[in-house]
Amino acid sequence: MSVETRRLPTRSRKPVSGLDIRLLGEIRILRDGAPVALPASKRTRALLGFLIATATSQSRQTLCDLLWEGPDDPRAALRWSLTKLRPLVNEDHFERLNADREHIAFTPGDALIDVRRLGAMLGGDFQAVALSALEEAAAMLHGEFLDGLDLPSCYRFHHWCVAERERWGALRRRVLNVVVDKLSDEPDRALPYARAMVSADPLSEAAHGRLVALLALLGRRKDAQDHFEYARALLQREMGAPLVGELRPPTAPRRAQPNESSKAQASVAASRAPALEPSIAMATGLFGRGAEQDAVRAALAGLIGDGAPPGLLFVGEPGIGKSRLMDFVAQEGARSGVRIVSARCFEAEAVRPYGCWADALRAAIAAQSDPKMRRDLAFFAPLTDAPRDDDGSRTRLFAAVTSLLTSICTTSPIVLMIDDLQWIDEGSASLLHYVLRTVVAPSRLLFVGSARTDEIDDNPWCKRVVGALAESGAVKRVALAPLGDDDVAQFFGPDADAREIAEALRQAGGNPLFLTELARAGRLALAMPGRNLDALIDARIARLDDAARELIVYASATVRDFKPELLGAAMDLPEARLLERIDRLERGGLLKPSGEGRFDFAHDLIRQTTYRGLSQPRRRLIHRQIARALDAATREDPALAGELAFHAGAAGEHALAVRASIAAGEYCLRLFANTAAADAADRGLGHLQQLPPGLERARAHIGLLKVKVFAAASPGIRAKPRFFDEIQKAVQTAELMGLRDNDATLGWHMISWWRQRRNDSSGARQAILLAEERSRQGDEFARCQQLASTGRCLLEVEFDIARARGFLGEAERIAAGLTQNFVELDWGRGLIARWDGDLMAAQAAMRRALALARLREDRWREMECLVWMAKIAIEGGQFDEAGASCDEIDTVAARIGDGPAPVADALRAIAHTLSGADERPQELKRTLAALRALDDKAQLAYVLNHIAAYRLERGHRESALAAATEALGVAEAVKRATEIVVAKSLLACLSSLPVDKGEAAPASAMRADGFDDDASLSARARVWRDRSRAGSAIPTPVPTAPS
Amino acid sequence: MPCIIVERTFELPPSDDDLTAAGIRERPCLELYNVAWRRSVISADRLRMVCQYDAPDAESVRKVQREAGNAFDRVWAGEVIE
Repeated sequence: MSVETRRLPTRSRKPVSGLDIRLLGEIRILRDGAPVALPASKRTRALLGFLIATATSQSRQTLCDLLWEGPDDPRAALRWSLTKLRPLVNEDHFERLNADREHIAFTPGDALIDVRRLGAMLGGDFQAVALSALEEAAAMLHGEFLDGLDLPSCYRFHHWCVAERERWGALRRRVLNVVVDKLSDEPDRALPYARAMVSADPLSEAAHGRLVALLALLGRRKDAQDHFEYARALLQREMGAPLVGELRPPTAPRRAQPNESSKAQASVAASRAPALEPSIAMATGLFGRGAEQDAVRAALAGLIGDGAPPGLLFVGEPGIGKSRLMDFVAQEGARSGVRIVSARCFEAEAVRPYGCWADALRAAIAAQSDPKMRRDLAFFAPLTDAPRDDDGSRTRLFAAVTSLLTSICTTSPIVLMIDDLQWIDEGSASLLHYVLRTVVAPSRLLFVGSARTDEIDDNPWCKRVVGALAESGAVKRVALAPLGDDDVAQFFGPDADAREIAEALRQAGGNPLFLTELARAGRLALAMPGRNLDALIDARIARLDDAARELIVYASATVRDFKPELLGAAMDLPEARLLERIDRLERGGLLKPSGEGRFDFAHDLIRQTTYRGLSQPRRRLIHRQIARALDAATREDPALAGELAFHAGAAGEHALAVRASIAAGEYCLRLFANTAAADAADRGLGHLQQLPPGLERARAHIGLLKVKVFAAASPGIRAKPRFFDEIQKAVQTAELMGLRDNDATLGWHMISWWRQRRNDSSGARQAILLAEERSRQGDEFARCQQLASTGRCLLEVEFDIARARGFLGEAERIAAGLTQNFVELDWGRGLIARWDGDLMAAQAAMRRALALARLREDRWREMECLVWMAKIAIEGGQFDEAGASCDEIDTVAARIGDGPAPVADALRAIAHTLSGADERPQELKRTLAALRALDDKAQLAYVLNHIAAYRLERGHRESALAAATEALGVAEAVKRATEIVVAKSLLACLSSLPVDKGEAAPASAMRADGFDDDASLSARARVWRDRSRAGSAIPTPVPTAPS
Repeated sequence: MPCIIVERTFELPPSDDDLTAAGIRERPCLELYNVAWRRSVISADRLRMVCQYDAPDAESVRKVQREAGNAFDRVWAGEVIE
């Protein structure tokens, strides 16, 4: 075995009870080393994982909210799950799972639990932990936390699980880093760990750099160069920033001769069997299943002969051959001349109402010439704009589908096939039930479905429709048993060795997919018993070349069959290369065409296994690229919004996920798929919590709640009382944030609707009046904001102050009527007060503006208000206060990622100098240079004028002259009237001073003339003008100082 | 009037409508701050953009961008070399 592919060392301690629980990777329980079969229900396994990981008492309500927030009885579902879990972890003498009426807790006892062991092993300083222990930890940290238990529709659990995965992923990266460090003298041993580092963090330049260095050190120069090129392209594409130097091109190896390990590796590589080449004779086609084939033929004969046969539902474990039988039905049906209408369901990771129906009926709708039917079914056709003023209903939509199928039946009998029913969505399930009950010519339609036995109960919609159809006799349930000896012998063909067939049967347990993978893996696989189906699929994926593997990895992240152009856009791959790779994977039996130019995995287990092999950061990266590709497509086809929400969420792009969830919810509502709409909104609400507070979050919150409210209008959905509180809180927050447009109106309409539902007529009336008022106020609100903003802006640039006063006065009048505060209005009031010389009032108004900006998380306005507060404090002689404001500016600048703010440094330096402390010329010089570099002329003029005044006071004529001259130049460039007047006044004062011997006289005597109109001058400008006219060189404070 | 450059990058490619909306948002602020938009260049993948303005200083352009809520990476004054 090569160095790179050997298994990382593991060591296990045997617990007294023999119970070993693994939460990293797929959740597993081993009792005395043997795996214990876990319940098929994902939620039940998720419950087990949550209880074990948290190991604290949890209330039943918390667990219901976590996993069973839905239309069914959550407490009953929890009880059912607990009955499945107790036998797995409890002992005769010790109950690990304890439950009373209100609480449930897991007590580990002596059970070995991987996450607890890791916590104990790695509690302290990693560097101090022995290498062997770190290697053991690295081996334990092999997979994602609770891998495969993705439940995006249970958003609370989903976010907890993602956070835990991040935590364990970070720990894994740290451990691998230290292991590679400690193995620096043994590059061949370090190499698999370096590869694991890259896999765990594909965007870490340092990890790629170490791998390249190790490959080079081992003499594998081509591999090193290849990886260097690959990593450089990846990092530049994804990070969009220059590399920091941790990834360097490989240097020449220190050792000229390859070591023994690499020789052995080369020898293994040379002797490796060709990829995808089965070494056991493998026949093709459907094997065994004689009885099932007969049932299919009989049903088809009945259909053709007008015998009204019952439908067929194939049930069995994954890989047992359900889809193969469905293919057989399609082939036989086509041979008999019946029309096949088929589709499959996909795991409900993305909200896609009526997804399987849309796929199944797309061609039939396109062929329809009846305009009414086309309009009624427009929702199913992509790129078709559904009538927006349509007053349609779910019943009409269902009736249209039934009519369509009935009309097809008149020309040809139909076989309606839906595969993987265990993942059907609520809308599709209801439509299926409706169609099978109401189709006008039942004798001309045969339904054939398939579902995984153990997962039917996990999906209430599937459970209901399957139960109802079986009960009414509309379908006959056909359970697929494992293949027997004869079937397996037939599977391998007459030349196969009997012992090998027996071994294959023993290993695969009669599961045809398992047998197929064994056959593909060849004789070597038979010699390595104990490998499960996942391991075989994993090995097959690992044997692919890099290009094919990259494609299948991207494909595994899609939530359904995929369009090649979507993958091409996500991978930035030209079409020709993309199709060539798809072709190879199709020939290798990993992908298959799924109609309409789409491709799907040959079996969903291949998709799941491929995806599980990806680290969390890599998954995020892939989902991000798919989301980017989908975002543009979603604008054209709103049906994709659910997929976009899923990918954006998985990529951690919460803002996009929220936006897409609203779009998906609204799309579902248009299709009358209210349950799916509520599901989309719940997912969006989960992502909303990750967004920073602010207007956009408040707006999105109302948008998501709107979807929930409209969805709850359906009698089948029970909204909880606390939902009302959430609406009220969201509306109040939105108003506090200043949201007064249609969204705010909508919020009050929602409250009114809710109150009506609860028969609170008076509350409903009150809310509707408020909605009406907000609607009326919407225009006034926007007008007020606009007036205040323009007035404040005019004051900032000191242009047309009379108009600015007028705008702010009008804004003030409107704001009083709205009983609403505006940042811009208080900011403007502060600037007017400063203009008039009332620094106390200016400070008070600016404080109010600052508080409002902080409340609304408006960082830019917060910073601007702080700058003004610092300036007002300086002008009022409050130098400590000015310094404190400057410190706050730095904090805000750091928070918004702007880095240090030169204006804060400059104002701080001025405050320090004016306070009478020692002048710091170097600091002043540095801050001025920073302001010049920033090219902020208004602030530069202000600071220079203060410096000039200070130096004038101390008789430093030359430096005062230089500062005032520069101040005048920059103030004139940005037309700041006050600083122009101050600079000219300073120059006038300087020109009136006697010139000492040896000093240069001002070029021309300056007079602060031409500023006679007091109304057009600020108080600060007037003080300086008057002083220069009086010939006074020593400034005195401006009239009113703040307290 | 000095030439001021604004550099922007986007997480997701903006549509033509997005760019028009950004232009409309900043229009009222331009006159107030004595700033004139000259031209913009967007990359082929629509993830990077450079905008050229005439303005008395870079800070005036920054203020216009912030008033309009248009994100940017850097703003700097430069000279046109032709």
